[in-house]
Amino acid sequence: MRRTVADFDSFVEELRTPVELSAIATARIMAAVRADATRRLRRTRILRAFAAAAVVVLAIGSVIAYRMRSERGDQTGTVVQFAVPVPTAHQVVVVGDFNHWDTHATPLRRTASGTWRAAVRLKPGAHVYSFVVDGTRWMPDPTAPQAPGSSDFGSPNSLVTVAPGTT
Amino acid sequence: MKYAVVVLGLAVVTVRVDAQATDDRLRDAFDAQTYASLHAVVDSARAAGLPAEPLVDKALEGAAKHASTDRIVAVVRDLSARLADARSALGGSGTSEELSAGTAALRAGIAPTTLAELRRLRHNEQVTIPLAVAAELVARGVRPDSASQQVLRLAAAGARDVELAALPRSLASPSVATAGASAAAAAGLTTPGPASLGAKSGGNVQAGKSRSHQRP
Amino acid sequence: MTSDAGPGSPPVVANDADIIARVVAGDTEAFSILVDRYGNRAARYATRMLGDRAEAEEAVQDTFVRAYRALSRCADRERFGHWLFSILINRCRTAGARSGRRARTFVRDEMALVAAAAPDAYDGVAWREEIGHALARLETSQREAFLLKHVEQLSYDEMAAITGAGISALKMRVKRATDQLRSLLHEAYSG
Repeated sequence: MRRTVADFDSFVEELRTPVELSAIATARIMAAVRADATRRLRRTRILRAFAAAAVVVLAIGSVIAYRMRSERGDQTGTVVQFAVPVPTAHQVVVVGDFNHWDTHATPLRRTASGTWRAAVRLKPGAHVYSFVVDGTRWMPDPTAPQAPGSSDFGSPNSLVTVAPGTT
Repeated sequence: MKYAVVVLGLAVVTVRVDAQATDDRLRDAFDAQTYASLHAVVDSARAAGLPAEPLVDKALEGAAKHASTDRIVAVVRDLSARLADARSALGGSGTSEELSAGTAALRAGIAPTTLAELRRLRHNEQVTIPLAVAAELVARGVRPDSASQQVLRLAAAGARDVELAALPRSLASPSVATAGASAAAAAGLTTPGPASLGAKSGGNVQAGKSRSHQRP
Repeated sequence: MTSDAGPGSPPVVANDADIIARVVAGDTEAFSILVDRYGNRAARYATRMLGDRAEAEEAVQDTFVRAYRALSRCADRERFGHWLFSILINRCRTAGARSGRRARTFVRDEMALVAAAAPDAYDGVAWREEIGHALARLETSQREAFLLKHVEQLSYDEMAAITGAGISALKMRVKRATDQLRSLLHEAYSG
């Protein structure tokens, strides 16, 4: 028996058949919600008691942990040179995932030939970036490929793949 | 017991410092209402086990480019779905870098089966670089199926990341550049039709060595 | 998004925003009203999406509990249903990823299934199984879009708000899903 378009409609109809959430599931949801409410109340009381004693330990711990991570971060990755010839520009920055698109983070320096350059340490992987000229003009890297789907916000981004290399 | 508490405290604080730093970046860039909408998306993604960093970076990109907040929220939600798709294609798990590269690869037209196969071929090693290379090959004008084949062939042969990363550069090397698109097309590597998306020959940003490049 | 309340139901005494305000203020029991309102629709979506009733119920339970925990962060309380569904969609994706191996195993059995669907063997059970199998063949994002459009009967604007995807992308996913489903159903039953 051959089933065609009409059967597709019955297919959709079948999918629309109501499904009932079981009483057990509903009961479990409310049990979890009530337990959560009780836990929160209890937790608030315990936390208040713990906070005073813990604050000194955690403050010292966070400084040590954060500094350890920062130091490790500085030693991984590969230095990549960004360069773009824009002799008439007054300011050029590079923005991308590696500096959280911060237009103040990575300014390039102008050389005598009018090429702007910066060296940035990047973690291995795919990175997306763009240049911003004089604060307003977004400019993809003319020598790099365009990142896939990079026109999410209008101006396209460039793509660079960084392999693990000698640091 | 005291030491266990201190160590646990350090671990908790380190993770929370990272999550907090990510949230702070979001809070600093947006007004309260937009932050709330974005934070809900990011939180939901975190709850689903997806990395928050790529989502926050995408939001920050939108902010830097002065996109509308509605657009930013929609794009970030869409990226969350794409990260989930990439994770699914990679067998249900992946680091933040793998999922970002996987998303780029899928978006470039690389088939999900390629991601699954890379995961299988690489056993316990990360697949970030092969995925990034596949996406870059397509961005340079190579057909997605051909890009997949090349990356899979190298991965199956046990190529390391630094060897895989050389693949796109070999396409962009000066010897190929002069003939440009026609040479690549003759090799059956490019999609027929107009030249690829703005990529020009003449070198690219070099990784692995500290070497500057310039447009000729 | 409408709740499960049909034309014959008792009048709704409070809208979602009012109920959320009560729950956030400490009236935990009021949350059960939201569970009653949206539970069945969530169960239907999850069951169709995951193809397994037990997994679906687990995903729905998980969704409501997460929604409760994050309730104070629900930005648009008038559209609680949409917000709930965006959580549900994520939970189903996680559950789907976990059982991904099972789905892939299933695909290899597809040919055996097609062979088993003899032309004269039409019966309700086989048809429902075929529906489940056909849905399982779709890519996650296509299955989601298809269910939201054709089963939950949401507008593309609503779907975009819930999933964050662009309307054109959603239309494409629905179209591809529809084309693939028609083709799969035709393959299974053509003589």
